[in-house]
Amino acid sequence: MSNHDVSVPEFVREVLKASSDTLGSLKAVVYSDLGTSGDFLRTWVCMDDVWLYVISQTGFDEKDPATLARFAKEQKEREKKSLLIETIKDIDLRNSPPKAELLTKYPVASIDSLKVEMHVGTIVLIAKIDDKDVIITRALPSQFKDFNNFARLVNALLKNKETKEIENQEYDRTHCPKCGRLYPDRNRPICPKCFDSKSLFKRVVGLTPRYKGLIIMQLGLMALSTIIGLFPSYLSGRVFFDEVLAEGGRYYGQIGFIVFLLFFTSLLSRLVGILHSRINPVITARIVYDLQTMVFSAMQRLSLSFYNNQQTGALMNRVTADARTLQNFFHDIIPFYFTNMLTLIGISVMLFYLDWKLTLLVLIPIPIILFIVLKLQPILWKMFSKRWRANASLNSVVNDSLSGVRVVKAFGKEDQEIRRFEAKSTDVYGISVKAGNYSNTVFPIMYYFMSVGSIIVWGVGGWNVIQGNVTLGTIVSFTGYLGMFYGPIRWLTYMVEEWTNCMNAAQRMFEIIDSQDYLPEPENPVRIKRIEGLIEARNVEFSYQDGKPVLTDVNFTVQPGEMIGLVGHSGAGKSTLINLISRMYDVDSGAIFIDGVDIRDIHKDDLHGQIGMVLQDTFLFNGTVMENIAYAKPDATPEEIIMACKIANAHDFITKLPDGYETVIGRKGQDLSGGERQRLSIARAILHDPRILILDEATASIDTHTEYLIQEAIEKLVKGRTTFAIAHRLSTLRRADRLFVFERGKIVEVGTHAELLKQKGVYYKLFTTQREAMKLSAVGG
Amino acid sequence: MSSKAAEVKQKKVFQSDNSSFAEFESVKYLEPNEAVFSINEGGILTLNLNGKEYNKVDLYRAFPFRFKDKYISVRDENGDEIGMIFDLNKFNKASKEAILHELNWRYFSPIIKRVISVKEEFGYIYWDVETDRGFKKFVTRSRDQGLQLVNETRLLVTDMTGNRFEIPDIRVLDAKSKHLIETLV
Repeated sequence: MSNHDVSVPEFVREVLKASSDTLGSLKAVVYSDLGTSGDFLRTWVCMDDVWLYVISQTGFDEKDPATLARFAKEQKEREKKSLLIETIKDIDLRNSPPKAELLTKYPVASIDSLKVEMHVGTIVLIAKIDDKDVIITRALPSQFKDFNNFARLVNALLKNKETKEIENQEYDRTHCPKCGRLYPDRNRPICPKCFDSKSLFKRVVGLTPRYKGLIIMQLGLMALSTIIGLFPSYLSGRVFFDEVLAEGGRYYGQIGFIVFLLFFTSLLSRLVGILHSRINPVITARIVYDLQTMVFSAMQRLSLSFYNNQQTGALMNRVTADARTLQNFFHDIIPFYFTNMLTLIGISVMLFYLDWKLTLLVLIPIPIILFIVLKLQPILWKMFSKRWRANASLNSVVNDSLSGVRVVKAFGKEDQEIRRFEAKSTDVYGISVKAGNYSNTVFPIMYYFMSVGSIIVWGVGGWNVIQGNVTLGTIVSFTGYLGMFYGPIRWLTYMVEEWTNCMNAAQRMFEIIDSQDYLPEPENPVRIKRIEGLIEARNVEFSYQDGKPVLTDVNFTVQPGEMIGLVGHSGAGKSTLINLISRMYDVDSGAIFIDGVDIRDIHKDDLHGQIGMVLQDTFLFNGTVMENIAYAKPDATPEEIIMACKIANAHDFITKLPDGYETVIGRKGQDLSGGERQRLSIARAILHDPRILILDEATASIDTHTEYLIQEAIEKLVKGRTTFAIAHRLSTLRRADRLFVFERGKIVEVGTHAELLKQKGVYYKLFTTQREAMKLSAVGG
Repeated sequence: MSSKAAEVKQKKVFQSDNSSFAEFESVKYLEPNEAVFSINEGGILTLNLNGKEYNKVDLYRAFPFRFKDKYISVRDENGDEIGMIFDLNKFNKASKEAILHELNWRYFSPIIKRVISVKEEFGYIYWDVETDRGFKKFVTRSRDQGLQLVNETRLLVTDMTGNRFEIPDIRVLDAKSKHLIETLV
């Protein structure tokens, strides 16, 4: 048993002490942010060796606003002085003082097990006590992970199992310890402000030591182009007016010279620009390519359970969107940032060099400009992004109704679509007008204040020129630089926002790269060159989610070459067993053996190389028929492929396709019928020539001839291989050597079709209802 | 009286007298006088349907936004549908209370009464609100994710971790709260 004592706040511990004479060290603690009334009151569930306690904050006796305000103030002060001890830091004391009471306690000996149920707006912790369900507490969905963990820990403790791997939840991980901000997602304790964006940036840049030379060159070019950019204003002002046009100037009358210089710098700046833009895409593309490859290979390595936790769509979206963001980062943001900063510095230096007193004057309108840039401009960005979204949603309406034009016409809903379009269109109009008005007001005001700087220069500078303190050329140069000065300031806010976006994207990509969620490789993998196909399961238990076992106590031995039909309702555990045999997941307890070796010890290549699958939903990659069939054996010869297709009864329809075996299929290509797709996947399996075959029959109805072709193909495929078939068809059921009948995660009946029918048990019921359904569909279809 | 709900249902379902479907199994609506719901000592919703005891039943709203009191699917521990509640107001007081107790917990979503502060930074929105359940701070992702306008005035807020909140009518919020929310929706 684990003996780590887990902490609760002092005032809770006092309640514990008061409610038990025998209070031992706490073995498990979890808290909910809901009281029994549904108010936001913290409720603790704690377990020692004897009792399971439920303790809740008491709440205010009366919700007097003045008291509430006082508490809020007190908490703020304590937070400021860091007086709050860790364990009550994230309790909102506006809802209740640090006071608690015992709600109830249950003797540990009477508890059979705990489970957590997820509802829509709450989760429920339910205990089985003396064979009856009892709700211990409810909590918010955010705490599902904590409660699940708690239930696992307690269940393990109850069974006296090893609990090393199950850690009790950590306190104070709801707030960032550095800045006190809430973590956006308490299950992913990363503060967007404080996560180390510097080291993250280093890591992003560190991806690319190979391109160091190029990057340094790039930075050099940017610096050069910035410096060159500073010349024209100086030349056309100070030099032109004071040295060339003025009598006694150093280059008096040499107009050709100054024109040549201007011409030359302009040419040079173009050349540098071209060089820079040619190198830039190379670096960007390489870095993004590297990063994407890293993420993609990490994703390939991850176990299926990672994909179950993350929505696959969201995941793909994330990877592509984040890669794009990062590309943007390297391509635009960094160069932009760098040159803008350099320009700002360069111009400031020039301004101060030309006339520092005038420069100080010119800075007067800067605060107002900064205010507009920092405060008002972001509102405008928001409006623009709103407009963009409104447009996108308008487009999606157009897209929807055009791609669904058949449905629209069939139901005669053209008018409805037009109304839908009009509604969206009105939105776009409204927001466009608003954004337009705003930007047409804010920017002129900003430009006005920018022009104020120039006016000051003309005024004060002009007076100075008359006085003879400053030359005319200086003033001309000065206004030139001033014009360039405000540009970079305007983009400041944009830069900050883009920077955080990019760092967030990088963070998410590294999260995938760093994810440890893959099945462990055996230390000394056993090589099996040719699997015979003897498969055994001993006491196999498995659950995708704790507290919801999908398979329990599964035992069987399957002889080499035997064909097993798996039967049962959906959700009974058939697919899960197949996932376990092919080691998409590892069993929770028990073991599966192939040829007497635990599959966790078999070399991955030997295992996956000799298990073949014909799945219900055949996935075809974009590519030719040939490439799709040869997926598992890329070096297959055309003869082999044709042979496989012939056996799979696919050869005939393939040769009839316009481009034969080179017809492009998949998302972008030719549409194949369900029966054709299935035969392709059979051909794929035949070519793969696996020792263990997994069949998941399609339920989709297919005409009798095609059905016959498929059945015949499968029959050929099955011969001589250990086969597991998730059986929907009568023919498969009859052909199988034995049937395993699943019910609620257990194998309840085993035998041949005929034997099981005679038993009149679960299988009999399943079979007769299915036959009814078949009759129905035969009549209907 | 007993079959009044059933009659209503019949009218609703077969508005166009589409009798060609009549032979098929249709949705079973629970008769209010045959089904007795109660909360047992373990806090669990149970059902006695014509004498048949269900020790634990779960409720699912078919239209959680439009019909909070109607079309509620009642399922047993295995997730199989026992029947549907056409309108929970047709049940007797005790049953109705039991049903509401369970529904309120299952579809728990505190009502935001006042928005104390809303801060958008780093791609997230940091909220501090007062609800009918007390004060709460939470975070949603910015750019509308997590904010859902069910109709013109009703806003559902789902935070990063799946906790739900709602504002039944944006118009009746105080001026400050309204202003804070306006920039988001």
